[in-house]
Amino acid sequence: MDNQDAERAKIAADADRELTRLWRAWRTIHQMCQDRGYEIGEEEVKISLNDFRKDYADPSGAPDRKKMNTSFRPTDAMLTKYTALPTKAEPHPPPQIGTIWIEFSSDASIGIKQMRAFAQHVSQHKFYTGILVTQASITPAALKIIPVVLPSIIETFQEQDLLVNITHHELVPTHELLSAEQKVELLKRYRLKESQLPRIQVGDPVAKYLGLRKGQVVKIIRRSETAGRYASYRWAI
Amino acid sequence: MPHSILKNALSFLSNTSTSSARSSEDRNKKTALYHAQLLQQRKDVEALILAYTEALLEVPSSPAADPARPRLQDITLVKDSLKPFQPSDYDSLIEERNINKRCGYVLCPRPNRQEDTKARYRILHGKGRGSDSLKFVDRHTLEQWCSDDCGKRALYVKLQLNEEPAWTRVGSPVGDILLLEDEQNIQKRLEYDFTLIGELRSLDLGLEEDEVVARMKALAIERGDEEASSRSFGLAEIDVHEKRDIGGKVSAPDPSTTERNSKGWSDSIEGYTPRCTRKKTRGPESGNREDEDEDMMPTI
Repeated sequence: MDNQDAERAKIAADADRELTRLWRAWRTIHQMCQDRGYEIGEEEVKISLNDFRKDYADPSGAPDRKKMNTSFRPTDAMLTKYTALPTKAEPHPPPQIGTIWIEFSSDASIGIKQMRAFAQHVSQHKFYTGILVTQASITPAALKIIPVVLPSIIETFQEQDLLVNITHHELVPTHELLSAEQKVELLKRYRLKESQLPRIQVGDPVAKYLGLRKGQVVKIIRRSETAGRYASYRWAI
Repeated sequence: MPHSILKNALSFLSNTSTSSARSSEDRNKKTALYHAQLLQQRKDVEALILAYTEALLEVPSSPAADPARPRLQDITLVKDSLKPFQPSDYDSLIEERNINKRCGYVLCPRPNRQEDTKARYRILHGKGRGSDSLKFVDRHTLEQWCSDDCGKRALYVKLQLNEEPAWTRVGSPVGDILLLEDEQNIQKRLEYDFTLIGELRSLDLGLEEDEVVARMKALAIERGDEEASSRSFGLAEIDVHEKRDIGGKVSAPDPSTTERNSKGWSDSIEGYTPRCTRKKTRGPESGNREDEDEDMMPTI
């Protein structure tokens, strides 16, 4: 009898640990979307563990990933930031951003089939971006699907990478995406071609956090002992 | 941006072409195009392999198929699809099938084995005694197949795949992929032939033993035992004969009579004068612009 109780207690503890992990990943994802500029309320980002448990745990206390799907719309500021400069051919270019869809995968491993299903869902509901949060790493073959399903953008994260928000670390400087207009201004001011800027890879953890795309420019603001603030610019490749 | 390399090269050209010669611009463009096409070709092949992998996840078509006696339709599909695969692509195919809870062997419809543990390794007892016989095996390796037989069949196919990536394979021969069953059939047929020879010999038909063997082999080839013959190394039988009918006396060419070039020695190698004239080295004062452009080529 004691044995059974101990077993049950162990399972409950495991479920609770899992739930706490997911709560942290959930918070990071929301902070990320807020930092990118999607419309999210403050109380959504700062959800407490108890509220999270109430909303997303199944009766046994384990997290129910199937419930954890959300989508956000971009704010007006974000829309203007992502709009290319008007040209003669296209005086009113559409913004290169739209609704984002976030899904926590309940499959233990992600292969081609699961990835196809996710891509299908994203394109079917006309989401601009889809974020898939997985429990384990995705197979290389499944990752090859991502560039094929353009124009929908698919980003993938592992739960374990979202446990802490890396941009809150003191050694990570502020990264700020420049709009098309700001970029042109920068290049004009320093008389540069964009290829003359320092670079940042799109696979860089912070670049992934911000969802940078090739060709965008970020402004990185560091603290400096001598100058107070030091800004540098990186071109995403 | 799908064609970024090409675009960059072109924009680069348009920026710098104002002063330099047009020919070098063309050449740069040609080089850029060449490399862009290579990349595109590679991408196409990779997309093809991905498509084949996806298709092979659904094979065999019927759930009642027997991996030991697959349907002809499935066999041809598998053999054709696997041709561009590298062993690593094959591994990822197995992984994908396992994720879908299927045996890793393409022609097997059964689910793969599931070990009832979450431990990373399992200890297997092999033959013999003591700690030598124990084997530590990764759980995932055990869970790849539905049975050891399927494992053998799958690895037999894997061994025949070309290590070289498909986009660099152009020109090299494409061998047909054999299944383990094919190989066994060939073995059986060969065994049958040999027993036939033995029986013939015991009948004592008055033929010499060697003659019987030779005839049986000829018969096998005549029958169109293609697989068997294609597995041999394809050595041609060549007889070398001395050329006996030579008119007149043959002697080595006299070095004094052979043609000498401007520097005073002969170009001929054992009597043969190479006809391919190499470009004369040019004096430093004789270079005009166009020649210089051409000589730049190998240094780029």
